Amino acid sequence: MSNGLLPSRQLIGVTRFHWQQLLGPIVVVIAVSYLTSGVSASFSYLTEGALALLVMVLSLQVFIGNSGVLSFGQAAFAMVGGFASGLLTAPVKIKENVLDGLWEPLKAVNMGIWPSLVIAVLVGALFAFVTGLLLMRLSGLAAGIATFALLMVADNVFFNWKLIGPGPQVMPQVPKFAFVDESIVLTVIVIVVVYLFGISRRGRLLRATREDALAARALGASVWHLRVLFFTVSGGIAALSGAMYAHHAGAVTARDFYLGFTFTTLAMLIIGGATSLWGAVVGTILVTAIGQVLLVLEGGVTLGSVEVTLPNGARGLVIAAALVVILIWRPKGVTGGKEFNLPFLNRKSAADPDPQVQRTGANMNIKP
Amino acid sequence: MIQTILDALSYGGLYGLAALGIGLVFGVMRLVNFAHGELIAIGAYLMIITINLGLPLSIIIAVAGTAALALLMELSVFKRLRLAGPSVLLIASFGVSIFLQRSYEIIFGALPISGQIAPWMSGVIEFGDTTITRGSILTIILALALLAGMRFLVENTTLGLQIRAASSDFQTARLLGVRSNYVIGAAFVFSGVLAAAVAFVLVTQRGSVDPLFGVNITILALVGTVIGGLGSLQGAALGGFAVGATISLLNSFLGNYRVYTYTWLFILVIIVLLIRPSGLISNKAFKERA
Amino acid sequence: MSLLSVRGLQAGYGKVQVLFNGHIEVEPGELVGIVGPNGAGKSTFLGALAGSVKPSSGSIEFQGASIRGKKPEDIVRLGLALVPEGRAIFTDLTVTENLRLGLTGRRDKSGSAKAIAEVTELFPVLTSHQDHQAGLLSGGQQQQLAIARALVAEPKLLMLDEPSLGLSPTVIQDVFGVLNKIQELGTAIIVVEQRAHLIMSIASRTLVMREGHVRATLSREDAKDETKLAAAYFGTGEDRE
Repeated sequence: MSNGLLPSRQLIGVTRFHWQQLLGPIVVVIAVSYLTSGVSASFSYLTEGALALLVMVLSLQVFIGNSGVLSFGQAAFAMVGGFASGLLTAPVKIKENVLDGLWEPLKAVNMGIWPSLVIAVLVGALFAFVTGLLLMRLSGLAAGIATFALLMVADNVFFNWKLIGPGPQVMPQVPKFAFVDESIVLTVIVIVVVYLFGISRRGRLLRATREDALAARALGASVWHLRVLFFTVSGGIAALSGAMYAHHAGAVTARDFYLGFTFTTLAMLIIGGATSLWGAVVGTILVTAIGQVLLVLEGGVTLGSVEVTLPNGARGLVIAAALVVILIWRPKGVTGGKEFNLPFLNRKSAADPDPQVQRTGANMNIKP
Repeated sequence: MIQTILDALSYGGLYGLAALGIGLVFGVMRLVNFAHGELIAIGAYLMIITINLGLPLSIIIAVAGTAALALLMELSVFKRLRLAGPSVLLIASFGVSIFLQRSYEIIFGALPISGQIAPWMSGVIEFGDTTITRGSILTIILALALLAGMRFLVENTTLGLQIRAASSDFQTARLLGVRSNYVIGAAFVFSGVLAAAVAFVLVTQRGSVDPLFGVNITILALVGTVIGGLGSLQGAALGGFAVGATISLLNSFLGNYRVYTYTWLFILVIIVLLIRPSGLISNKAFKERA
Repeated sequence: MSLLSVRGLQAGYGKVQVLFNGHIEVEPGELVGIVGPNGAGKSTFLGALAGSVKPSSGSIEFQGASIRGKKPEDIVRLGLALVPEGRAIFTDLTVTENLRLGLTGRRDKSGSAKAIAEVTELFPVLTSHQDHQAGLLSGGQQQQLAIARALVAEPKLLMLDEPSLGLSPTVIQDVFGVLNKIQELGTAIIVVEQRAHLIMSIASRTLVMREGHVRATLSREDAKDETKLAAAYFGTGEDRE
């Protein structure tokens, strides 16, 4: 099952709880978020959007990174979450006027953002669970194509079915987050969840199946159970991302969560490093930063005496190129798939990732 | 009624060509090339831009350009991913696809460019009291010609034999002396030629080209290739035909509900994959120990 | 100068090393056997020689030149051909097409027709099945096709990986009988077999492999001595290499 993106034989990624592996990304996310949103209102808006994307990348990481199974389908659950949360929080008047095909009970309901987020996550997880039961039997290419098909179905349905949403139109007037802090809190919660699932016993078992097809067969049915579990969690998180995006943009439409969204988030994960939480964070920050720089350059900028204007579309071009280059030359991503680690913060030597082993003098050749 | 059938056949033929292009490359290197759509697009762009040089020259330029781009994709990206698994190849092709789409946006602009390629493709012919479109008949003829040509190539030439062998069992083919890079390169070139043909038909139908020109048909052709059985060239062509014909018929008969065509198609894909995932990954062909 | 000279060959799959110390010398026209239990690394050894497995270290010299790290399609053109385990014929292609594919590995394309004629003489059963799909042939016929296909390239050294696999005793006799004829044509042969007795009596030398190492080399006379055989197979703690 080793496919070049993910390391073979070495359990890169978390195995035991290490404070810095969890706190590192959290501190970085909080610091970067506050720094950038402090610059200006538009940067704050940008940060809020980036955090929604980061949550999506995390949903990809928790599934793809641990199971080694490629999935294009998470955007479908983001759609579900975005629609659910948007519909539940939009003013009743708007729904009655604009979305006439909508299911009556959905029209009448109205709740605050935070309760709607919870429901969005649950609905997304439920969808993921049901589809996971079917799709998690597949691996490799078949899984990639099947989950792609899932995305196509979701897009087709959400784009057209007026019973559950605005159809081809935009659903407006979705209440926005008041402060970027709300997004930050949500992101931190997701980071903790993803980390805990990663270092859990089940997470380690799932990663074992990723490394070794033989081990996967030896574990038998458990592989399927594990994948369904992580796919479900991934779905819930993706739904949250969709909801966060809805409350960031103040509007929802099906095409927000389609191929472009899938590409961008997948690129962020792979460029950063699919096997680790830190990879997801780094990838998102990098790609967002590069994207912003290119956006500015697209608008025209004077560097010294030279006027630089990049053509529109340069952003997507550079990111796509970066994705391909990384796949060829550094398939494990910028972080090499490793978790956050500042060596001087380790109490033991940097060569030993697990202090407990050294203490007991156990065999250091831990095979996954 | 006759027109409906002709439409179904011509769409079927067109999608069959597209699916065959994808199937060729998949056969030899287990790559599902998302970027095939961008090959179709460049063919269309080249045709529209050079049409003032006359149709024959324009077509030659388009075919040459498309084949060249296909070969370039292989040499610059996919060749370096020879040992990577199918999932990595899939993502890489996704990346190449987006890269090319944005490139077209930059080079040609995001707005559609219109052009009249072959006015003789449009219009109608009258047989007694029935009218049928020229385009549908000509597309059927073109598709049949190309499919026959490909069949000849694959069944009756040494290169075709090598491609078939490589698609069946790449490793053993190499042990017999089949030059892997050469065979894969050839597969890409042929897929480029097929893409150019598809581009021709589409561009005469639509009268314009834009960066996302090839995306839709590629996604659907992909469905066809999967349903028909990846790894089998005939399967790919048949699968593409089935998808194209089905879409055409559904469009004619479903009325308002045809917006959900994609949903049914992709549910079918999922079902096929669940029942026969081994149709995608033949255990003889691509062992991981490359 | 030996036709093939291999020393210290190491190879594996990914991070799993299977072959730790492969070595062999083959003279032109010789028939050498390699036997050993499952997992001994025999197939990996042949794979490394043929180029389908990349060795991590060691030397492989064929006709005096190093071929380590070359691609399989180049190695076969130099005169070293492999008939892989399980026959690996192209089941969807016809018998004739399979043979034609073998021609790809010929260095000198001019003798192609003659080569096919020679090979069909050795394996008459193939003529009657010329246009049948190879997948319809029996196991024994498929094995003959696989060998014929490799011979068509006129290799100087032909390697066979477990040719007796899945075949009945009479068929095995036929197949091994052909090996003699091939030797008479001047081709050297390496045969990997799990069923040691099949090869040890006809090979001039047989290597015994275990756990990725060559543990012993037995001559044809040694092979008749059961204790020597057992010692080589199961090991006495002291290896003769």
